[in-house]
Amino acid sequence: MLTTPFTYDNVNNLAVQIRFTNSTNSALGFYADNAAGTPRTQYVFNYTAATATANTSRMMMGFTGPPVPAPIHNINLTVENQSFKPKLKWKILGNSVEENFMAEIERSLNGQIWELLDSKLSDYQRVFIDNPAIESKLFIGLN
Amino acid sequence: MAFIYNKSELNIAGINAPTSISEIWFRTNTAGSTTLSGLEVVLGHTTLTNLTVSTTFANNFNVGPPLTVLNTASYVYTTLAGTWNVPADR
Repeated sequence: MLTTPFTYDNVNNLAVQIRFTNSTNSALGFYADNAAGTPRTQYVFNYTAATATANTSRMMMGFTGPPVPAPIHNINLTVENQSFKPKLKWKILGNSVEENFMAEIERSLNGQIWELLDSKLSDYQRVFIDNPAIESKLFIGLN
Repeated sequence: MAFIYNKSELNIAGINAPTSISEIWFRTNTAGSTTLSGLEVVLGHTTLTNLTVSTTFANNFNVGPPLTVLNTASYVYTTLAGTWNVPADR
């Protein structure tokens, strides 16, 4: 189990380095010396060395980890009525026409939202959820 | 020691999207266990391949900075037994 997860980008190759901070250990004895033997592991026995002196077959390794959610995109929002300046925070979850996006407005705006001026939105695509207890409006629709 | 897994290999193994790696394991043909001290594991992105691993360890991380995913004074290291070249199952 890793103490800090690593996000692999699925674009580049993945480099792995295993090292020790003292000279009492060697992981070489735990090599899973795969029979094909072509993919290489560069190694050195000196724990202070920055360069390898030999190579052998690569370890057989497995990973555990969930896919990373799609990145959250920001959008600009123009508020026509400047009489109030609510704290607005918008999030888009996914940017495809078939994916939901969620917009959060951090303030009690009951009765102050008359229309969402987005040409790709229509009334029947919207779902409003009132939750005065947390003074927020939650809008879920399709873009 | 340093080694590289190509994107194509990871894709075949089932990683087909950006993935948060939270655990790694190793497989040998014989199960074993020992306690390692001063162990560090570093992961990073690279354009090098499994056949062009640099002998200069730092050069293998040539796409952004590497990340130390494990740095521990003492670690019980257990390998899983399995057939050579069949690392996918756990």
